[in-house]
Amino acid sequence: MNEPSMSASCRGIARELEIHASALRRGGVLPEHAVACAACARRIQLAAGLGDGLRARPEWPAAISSSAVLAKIHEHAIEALEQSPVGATLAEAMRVTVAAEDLPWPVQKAEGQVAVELSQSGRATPGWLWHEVRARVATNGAATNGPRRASSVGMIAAVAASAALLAVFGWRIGRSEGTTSDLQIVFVPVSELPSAMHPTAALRQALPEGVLPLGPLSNPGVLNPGWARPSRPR
Amino acid sequence: MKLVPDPDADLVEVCRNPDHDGFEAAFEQLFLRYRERVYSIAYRITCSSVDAMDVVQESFSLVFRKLDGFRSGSLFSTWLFRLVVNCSIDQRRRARARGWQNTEQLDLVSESAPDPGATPAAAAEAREFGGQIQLAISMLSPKLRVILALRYLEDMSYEELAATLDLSLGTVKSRLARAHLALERVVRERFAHLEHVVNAGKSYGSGA
Repeated sequence: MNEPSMSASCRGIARELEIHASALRRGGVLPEHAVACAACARRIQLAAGLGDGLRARPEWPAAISSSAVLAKIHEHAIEALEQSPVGATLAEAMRVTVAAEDLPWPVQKAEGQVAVELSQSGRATPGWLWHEVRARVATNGAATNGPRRASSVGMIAAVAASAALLAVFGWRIGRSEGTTSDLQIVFVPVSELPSAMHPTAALRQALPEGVLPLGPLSNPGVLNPGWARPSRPR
Repeated sequence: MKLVPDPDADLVEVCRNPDHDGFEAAFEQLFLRYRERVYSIAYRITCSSVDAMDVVQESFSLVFRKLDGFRSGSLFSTWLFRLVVNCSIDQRRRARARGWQNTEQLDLVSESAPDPGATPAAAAEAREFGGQIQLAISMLSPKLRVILALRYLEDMSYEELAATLDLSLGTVKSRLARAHLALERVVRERFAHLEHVVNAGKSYGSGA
């Protein structure tokens, strides 16, 4: 701000005001021009004195130390992300657009969120996972063998095939970068969704009626057309 | 600008990878490290503690989302303070649009942090002095407030100011000189008693 009434020397002082003020604060002397110019001397002294006030940090509110602030920051970030084009696209992508009658059983029988999860788990189930599932089913079967053996195979198959949709949670999480979650296999009725935070994969294939496949599958990760359609729940 | 290692580089690196196990802890660490400095700058620019708190949240939310856009060649603090300045100016604009023209007068209850070693009387005096300075600052344009806040609160060099505000060195110097002259004028015209206080040789505030 060069005032028209200022002389060139005064303007020079104004330009370097901060430097002169700092020097004065440190015990230095006024520059030559300011010794002779009362206005410049006053200006430098004022600037030196105001420096303390300018450096003083305002008192911060106690709320800033609360953990709630960090939570609000996260909420703020979530809101912003959800309102962004990426968020809108994601929300759109999560909608089920397939008509119920076009869905294969047991997706047809599953309602709401279960159907959403099933219809969207498009990734082929890997062999190691099928193997694990079959082992678990076999363990279940062994536990219920005995007097009811005659009907157990059918029952197990029915339970496994119809009442128990094999929802496998944690598969993708367990296999994704940076995490080491263990595989978690949860057997649930088709109408329910397991209480897991991130259901990431569901086995679409149920067991064939009367068959408890324990042998290796040639390509167990995808639907096996040789398998019979499972029975409906009773 | 001299090349100095960024003291926040490790934390920033972790925060750039949301898959990293230490992400949350690193982000919290950055927040704890900078929250008060961010608040101080925001308060100097917005002249309102409520708005300054909003700026703190908005700024760190942007850090959370945009850290990928930060280039490792510069200091994280420079990048952060640029965000804070922009958020503060936006916040002030919004506040004015809402009709809060007099936030300065409403909000002068929270002023300079008192020196812990000061007597109650000295602390009260320092608070009063800080309040008057803040009021004087609030009468400057946002651009001039910004440069004064960064220069005095963060003790930034001309080069650091230029990098933070994306200005040339010449513009930084000229704007800083203008800010001083403008503040001097406001003090003389509106807060003449401050000049007497200053000339009496009193020194208030916590200092840098």
